[in-house]
Amino acid sequence: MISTLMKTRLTQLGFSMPSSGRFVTSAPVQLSLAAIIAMGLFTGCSKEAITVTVIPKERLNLAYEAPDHWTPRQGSAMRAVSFSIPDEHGHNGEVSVLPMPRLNIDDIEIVNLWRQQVGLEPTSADQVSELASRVKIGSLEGNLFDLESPAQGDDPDHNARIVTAYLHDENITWFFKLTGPSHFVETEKPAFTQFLASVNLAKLQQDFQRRAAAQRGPAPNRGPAPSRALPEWEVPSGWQSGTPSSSMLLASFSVETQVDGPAEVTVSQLGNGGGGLLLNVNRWRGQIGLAAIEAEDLSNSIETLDANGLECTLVDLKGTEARIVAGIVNVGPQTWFYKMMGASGTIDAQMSAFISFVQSVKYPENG
Amino acid sequence: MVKHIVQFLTSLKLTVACLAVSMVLVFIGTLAQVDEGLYTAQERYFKSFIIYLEPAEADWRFPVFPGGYLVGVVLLINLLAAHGKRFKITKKKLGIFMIHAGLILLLVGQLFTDLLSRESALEFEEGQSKNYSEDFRKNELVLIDKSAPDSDKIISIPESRLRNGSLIEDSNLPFNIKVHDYWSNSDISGTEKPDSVKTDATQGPAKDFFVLPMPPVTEMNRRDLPSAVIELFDGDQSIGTWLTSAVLKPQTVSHEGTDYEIVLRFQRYYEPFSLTLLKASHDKYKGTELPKNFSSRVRIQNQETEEDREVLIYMNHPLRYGGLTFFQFQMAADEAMQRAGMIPTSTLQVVRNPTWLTPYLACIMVGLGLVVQFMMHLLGFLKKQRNRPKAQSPRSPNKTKAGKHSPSSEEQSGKSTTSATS
Repeated sequence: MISTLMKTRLTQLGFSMPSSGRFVTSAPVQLSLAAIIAMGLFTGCSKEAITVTVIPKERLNLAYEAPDHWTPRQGSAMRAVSFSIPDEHGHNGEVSVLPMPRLNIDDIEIVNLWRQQVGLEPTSADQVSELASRVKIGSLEGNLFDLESPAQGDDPDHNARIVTAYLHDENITWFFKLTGPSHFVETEKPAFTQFLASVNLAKLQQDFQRRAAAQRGPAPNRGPAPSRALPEWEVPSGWQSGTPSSSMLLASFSVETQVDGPAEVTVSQLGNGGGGLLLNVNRWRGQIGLAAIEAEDLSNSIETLDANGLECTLVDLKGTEARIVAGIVNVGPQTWFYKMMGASGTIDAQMSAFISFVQSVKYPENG
Repeated sequence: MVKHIVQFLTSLKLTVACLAVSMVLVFIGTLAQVDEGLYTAQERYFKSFIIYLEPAEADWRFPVFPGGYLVGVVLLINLLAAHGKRFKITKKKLGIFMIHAGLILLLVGQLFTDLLSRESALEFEEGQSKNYSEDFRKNELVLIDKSAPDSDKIISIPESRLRNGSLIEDSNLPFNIKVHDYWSNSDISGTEKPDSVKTDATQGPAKDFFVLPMPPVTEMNRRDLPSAVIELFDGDQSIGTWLTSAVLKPQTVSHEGTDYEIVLRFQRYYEPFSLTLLKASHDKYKGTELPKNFSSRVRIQNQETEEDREVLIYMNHPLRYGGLTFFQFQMAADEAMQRAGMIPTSTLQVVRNPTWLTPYLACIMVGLGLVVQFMMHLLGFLKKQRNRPKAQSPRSPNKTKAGKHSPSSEEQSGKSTTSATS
């Protein structure tokens, strides 16, 4: 078909076909011509087009999704998150999430502990599996128990009831609990199950650890309370100022590069040398999985440089993946700590920016 | 006329010329990688039809040498045309034909892989869902209309349209965009530094920033971070001038009651499904720091097909889904990172290659061709052996082997080698 068309067209254009005509009309030549045309289309000189895409809104990386009527409570030292759930009768239910270092105890012991809480007799190991139902907790599955106290008053709706789920993650055993009067728990149970499915354990754990670290408060031996006035400094480009994750910190910056993973720069100020160089270096070493060192080995990981007329001790600690570079500047009675921690490649790339930052600081008169 | 063209296309001189040109091309292209980097050199010398001389400051360019694609295409045409002219498919040469067809398929497949394949990265932290990956090299200037409650409208302008002084008009754009300045690689600074440039931006949080132009990166593990100063126009009326950069966050531009986010960013490829990183695992051999395995447990959710399932992606076990292949690429999930309070992250390399089957098909064709050719020679040889006149048998076997039949079998095998490699 194509070859007939080509012959006709070529004849129209005044080309005389060779008597055999075989070469022009043979399949390979047609294929070559098709390839040239295809290539012309693919690599044409036209400008790249402007495109329009409609996408669903991006979902935020949340630790969980809870119903609006659950009121978050101030997190305690033990709980990762907790909510109170008031109803119209003034009854209060509660939801709490408790992370514990991974427990090596049998399910029966956990279940009997809860049974005891609602006034039920301990059960046997055989019955535990019958009482348990599987439930989705984030991306994993855990066991769920629904336990109700024996009837105590006339109104069975007011019996104490616990719906509780647990699962063993790598290092943590997570407990999720919904408690309240029976009828109330019944109403909230579907929302609780949805909450369990929405949980992002990694994020929840991280938020909990951050808060726990902040609640642990300042290190001992910190001397006089530091003054909170921020000095003037020049923040390098690309550093994003963030909210300090602890009350100890004066400022924090997140640093991201295309080179490697993220890093964080934090600034803190302590009195009395902040516990001394060795203590701090060993604390940092611990944070990136390095063993503690003795005072005489300190010199291997430190150097000094000039920071606006003051001496700055620069510490560089390389862990297997994370790395810490810290600058320590003594200004009068106060010691300033600048710490950059994160992915090694990013720290490499940001080293000069970090040093310029430390050198750019103009301290208040009292340090 | 046609005869001349055919003669030209089928000539061996053309083959030799093309091979000579490709030798020169490989030589200069390899040397150029020192200064231009692997990626740029590949694009300029091998993935192009013509190599142009482009002085840095000039707005003209001059063709100086044929590029890799042109040489490849001419060679391919030459090969096909020569086959058309000189080669007849006979039963005897079926194997050779299959071998050549396989080689042609390999060449064409590679060309189309170059033209059509795309590599990007999908980096996410545990718990994060993403429905897009980001190009390793390319960037885009985007306007995002976030006014709809459930969706965002993204208008993407390819980086190639950002040229000094160019005016970008398009019916999809809410306003016209004039590019005042464009730097293919740069850094942004709040303070003036040697060689930094004060831009004429008048709007946005970055209007007082300085741009530090930088040479294009040549390392493969880094990328260019472009910046551009753009002026937005409503008809002839200027709305303002903004500095946008791949190192800056999105800035908001209000126009006719709609807020647009404007940002120069790594080019994104959106997919109709999303991937959620459930768990990034960096396993080590016990008691050592030696990595044993990197794996990402990922949840695929596709609203169109109502698919919702989990998969494990680890080294040499990519996920093939939606015409894409997801390979485990990078990971930051070490215990030390987690102790430092960082959420583990994983990066998947996302490859779209619609022609990924062609090398397999080509190899099968070449393999089959070799088998066919070999078998035909073997069968022919065995047939000859069988039909050998009985009269030869009284002769000494040693003499027969060394004296008479050996050369003929050598000739046979020599022939078959020549044919197979021709």
